[in-house]
Order: sequence, then C-alpha cells, then structure tokens
Amino acid sequence: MTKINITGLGIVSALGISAKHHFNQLISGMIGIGHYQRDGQYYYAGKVPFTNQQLSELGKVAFSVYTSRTALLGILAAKEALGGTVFDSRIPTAFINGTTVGGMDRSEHYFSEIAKGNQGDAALFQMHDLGANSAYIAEQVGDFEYVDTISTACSSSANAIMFGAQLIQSGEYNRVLVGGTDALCNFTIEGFKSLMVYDAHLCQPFDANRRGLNLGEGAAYLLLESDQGVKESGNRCLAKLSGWANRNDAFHSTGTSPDGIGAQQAMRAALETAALRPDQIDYINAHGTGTQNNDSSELAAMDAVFKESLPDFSSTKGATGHTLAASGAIEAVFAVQSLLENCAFGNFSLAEPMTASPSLLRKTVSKEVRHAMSNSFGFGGNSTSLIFSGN
Amino acid sequence: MQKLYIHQAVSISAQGFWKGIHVLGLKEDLQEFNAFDPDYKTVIPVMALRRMSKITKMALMCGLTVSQKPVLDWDAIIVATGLGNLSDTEKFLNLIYGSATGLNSPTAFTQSSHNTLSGQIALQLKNHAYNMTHVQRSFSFENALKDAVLQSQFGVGNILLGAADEHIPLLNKLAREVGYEEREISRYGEGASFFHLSADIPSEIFVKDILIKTKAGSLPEESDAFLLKNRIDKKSCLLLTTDDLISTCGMDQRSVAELVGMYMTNSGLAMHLGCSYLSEKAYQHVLICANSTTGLGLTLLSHE
Repeated sequence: MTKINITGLGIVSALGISAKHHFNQLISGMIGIGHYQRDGQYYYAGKVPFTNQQLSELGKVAFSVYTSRTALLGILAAKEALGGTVFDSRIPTAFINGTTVGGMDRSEHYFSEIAKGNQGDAALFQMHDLGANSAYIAEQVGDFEYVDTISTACSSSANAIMFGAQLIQSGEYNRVLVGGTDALCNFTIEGFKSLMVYDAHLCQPFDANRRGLNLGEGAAYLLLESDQGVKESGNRCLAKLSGWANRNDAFHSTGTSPDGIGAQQAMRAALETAALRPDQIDYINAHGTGTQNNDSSELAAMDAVFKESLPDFSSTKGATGHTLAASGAIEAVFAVQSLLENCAFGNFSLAEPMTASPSLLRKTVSKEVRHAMSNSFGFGGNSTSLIFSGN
Repeated sequence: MQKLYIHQAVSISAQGFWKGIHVLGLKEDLQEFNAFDPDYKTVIPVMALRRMSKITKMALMCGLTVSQKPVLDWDAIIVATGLGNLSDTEKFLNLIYGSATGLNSPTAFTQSSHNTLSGQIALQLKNHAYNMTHVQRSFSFENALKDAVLQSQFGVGNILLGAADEHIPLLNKLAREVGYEEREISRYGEGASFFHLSADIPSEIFVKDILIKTKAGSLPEESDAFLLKNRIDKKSCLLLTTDDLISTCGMDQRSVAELVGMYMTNSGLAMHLGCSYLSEKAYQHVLICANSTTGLGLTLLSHE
C-alpha cells in the first residue's frame, strides 16, 4: 500500500499560532477559551486573539473588508504547513479544504446592516460560497492544480484529510494539502444556542456534569506526500496517516445514537485500513464536544470497539473550543504531535469524570505513542475516524 | 480509469420530474427556470416533508427514487451542492438579526448545513455507509463524481451520486446590487440529479473519464487534449455545456443552461441528458464541459 507521509503541519486556534506553540500550550494545560460580551450577554468562546487586519498582516495578504475571516485563518495555517515546499510543475499539488461557515461573517455584516435599516453592501457575499474561500486560500499560498471543498459539518476537515490520502493512494497526486478552517460567527453561536447545547460556562467535555460546548475558531492543515513526493521535495516525514474511514450514524439529523453506531463503524473501519488491532492504539484524541449526547455516545462507541483495551483518551476541545469544520484537522495536528513528542494529552476542565476508567486522562502523560486515533463527528450522522502512526 | 457504469438517473428541474434514462421531450423555450415540484409525498414521509426546504425535497425525491428499484443498500452516498441550503440559511440569518428576541427555533440552523442532503438520505434509508458532500462552485458535481470514481477504485460497489442547488429571490437582489446583467439574472435556475453508479455491474452507459483543473489552459486546447487522450473522434461526440455554447468546438453541441437555467450543479442535469442521448445511440460519446473563470471540469460519457 502507498504510504501517506505527513511532511508539514500548520495550525491556528484560540491557543495561538504554530504547531510548536500549540504543543507547549497543551502540555502546560493552557485554555484558549475566553469570556466575551455581545449585546449585553456574556458567552465563552475560543477566539483567535487577532483582528482581521492583524491576521492579514500575519498572513502577508492585503486587507479587505470583503475577505472572510475563515480564509484569513486558513492562509496562516496553510503557509505554516507548506513551510519551504517549492511548487513544481513536475509534482502537481492538490488542495482539499474543509469548511462549513465560509464567508458567513461577511454575509452577517450585510444582514445586520439591513436589520438596522441601512443600505447593505451586496459585494460582502462574494465569499459566502464555501468554494470561494478554498479558492482564495489556494491562490494566496501556492500553485495548486486542483482545489476541492468538503463540507460535512464538524467532520469536514477530517474528511478532507481522508480524501487527500485517497488521492495519493490512487496515484493521482503525490502531494496534497489537506485540512480545514472555520471562523467564529453569530450564525453558529446562535445556532448551537438554539439547540440548547451551548454551555454558558466553560465547557467540560467528558465530565459527569457537562452542559454543552463552547465554540471556537481556527484552521489547521497537513501536507501529505507520497514517497515520490518526499523524494522530490526533500521534506522530512513527521509521521504517517495510516488509517481512515467515514461512516454514517443514520440516527438523527443532529444527535448521535446512544451506542454511537456510526462512530463504532468508523473506528473499526479505520483500524482495518491501518491493519491494526484495537489494542495497538496508544492514544485517542476524541471528538468530545462537551454535550451530553456526544460524549456519552462516543464513550459507548469507544467501549464497544476497544472493550478492555480502551487506550488513553481525551478531548482537547476544552482548550480550543469546538472549531467545527477545522476541528478534525486541528486535532489531527495534536494526534501527530502526540506521536512526535511521545505523550498523550490531558482532558481540560474535568471536575467529576463521567467514567471511572483511568483511560480518560486528567493530565498529559509521557509515554511511547506509536499509533494515535482522532475522531470527528458531525450533523447528518457524519462519523470519521483517522489513525496516525509514527515513522 | 476503469469504467464507472451508470444504471439509473432521476432529475428535477425546470424541465419537470425526469425518472429514467429514456429521452425526454424537452421544452426549448423556457423563460424561467424554477424547478417543477413533483408530488413529493409519494416518496418522502409527510412528517419529514413539512419542514424541508426545496433543495432538500428535490434531493430526497431524486435520491430516494433512485434507491427504490431495485432496493439497494448503498455502499457510498456522495452529494454535490454549490450553494447548499440557501433558504434555511437566509431564514436563520433573518431570525438572528430580526427584531424578535429570545430563543430561536433551531430547525433552519440544523438544516442549513451543506451536508443536510446526504445526511437526510442516509437517515431516511438507515444507511451507515460512506457519506460525503463536495462543495466547489461550478465544479461541485465533478468533484463528487471524482470521489465516486475514487471510491469505486477502492472496491466500493453501489454508489448513489447526486447534486442539488436551489434558487432564492435574494440571489437576484444581490446580483442586481453588484451590477450583474439582467440576462444573467434571468437565467438563474435550480434542480437536482441523482444517479446509481457501479464499476462492478456492467450497463450500456458509463463514465469514461473526468478531469478537473483549477488552473486550466484555453478551453479548446484542454478539451482537444482530453479527447485525444481518450481517442475520441469529435464527429461521434456531443458537447454539453453548462453555460453558453462554445464558438468553435468542431462538435455538435447543446447548452444545458438554455434548458434548465444556470445553477452551480447543472452539470448533474447535463449528465442525465448525456445518458439519454447515449441511450438512443445518437452519439457514441458525450463530453460535458463546465467552464468558468475559476477552472474547468470535463466529463466524458460513452456507451458500449
């Protein structure tokens, strides 16, 4: 089977910018989620601490009121993942991007002006379509032959990673930049509030008294290359993407089934792709949003798949917030770092763990990690599981 | 690439509800391109139907109809949409920026997700297989088809592939405000097309090749190279364009936009139309060309 080498990582979230910085933040138990105020109401969210103007400067692109925050976050992370990789016509490169909100922050601006009785600027919609965001990021960071967007809610970037791996495995591409990006916006904050799963306090994934999620924003990308691609680029292989699968829960449009059928099937199929037994997984970066429904169904699914060999697991969403389409890629970067640094990350804000199992990590532990799994589940029953393996 | 056979096609568009690969009597002089509303409740459960936006209704009507005969447990469900659930998105934006305070209903929010279509089909069919949604402007359908080709290479059997986009009046308003021409705006359309594909079970008509490029050369150059690579004689090939006709192409051609209007996934309808031309053996091949300033998509269909 063709090896899928990971040769670059890039990430931006409420914890800051760059993969190295994120690792330091995670092991020191830093929480990026903050307390904000809007229209007289307080809420917790994982905001990237830079304005669009500042993000434009950091990403070295001209500032424009028409550019979405989603694209600006994406550019920063994509540039870091590409590093010094030179685009060469001998190795055509593809870009597979996951996003759900795209330029919603700009569209909202139009609607809010109209609501105030002002004239709206219709040009604000030019990045409403998700594909426009991927195309803009691609233009700014490299010379891509092929650009595609996957939008499957909270598993979007995990699916983008999987699709990129398959493009390499089929021999069609030797190099693919994969991941995703989503900015915070009122649309999603109000949306999760309307579903009554937005925690008014700091979220506590996998806690017995969890109340819901806090949204976050961010972007992350991984550079995937075949052996041929690595030979040409000279990039160092950090780790391998060894397993992947997407399955559907087919239970409810937003909720997950009590036993996490889709999650179980995705994890089992990913293990099969990687040709690994459950007891060979050393760490799982769980989806762990902090909602009653997700965490109980995900834990049930992990118990069903791993039985008595449930590996160390945690959710890092207590630090970043739930970054929706970006979360799969952000947590994929964390999974790769657990391999590189030989550690399993701790869960955040646990007071009373929902399980007595010692596998749910309160703190980051040093240990040999050869295979790490990352789960992402979304609306529409979409369930994706990825496995990363050390060199 | 290996042949990816097309077994069934169902579409909804301004041309009507079109079930099967037979040739359709086409209305040639349509001035408006709102999609025809079939009797959705014959296929979609009434309880579910009530809250659905048009795009979801169209996609489910087509997707579930393809799934009826023979009853198949899909090994993959792959859907394309250019703009997704616009009416639910607009509805929820109006709710949160409206004057009403207090708790909003979550329905429009949950349905606004781009993967509502693929998710709802899986939910209705209780299907646990691979479920994907591609969104890439005028090439969304081509990308979903490319995914189907990829999955079939990895041994995935029966694939439900579809595309859908809906029109809302806000699109016209915004287009006018940014200065689009009335001719352009009057062509806005909507529709859905779904197919049963399989590489394992032969049938008369198949997808022979597909090419998607974000950075493409001139259209005649690219399409000539694509046809040459596949050793296709232009005389035996019909060109279907998703926008205007192409001035010099050396092939018979039809514009799908003239029949169903412009929407980002109207190449799905082009594939259905291509299948029908091939079924009457008027041509040996059909080349579908989705061409825009943001790239190029070429799909080649053939019959045995």
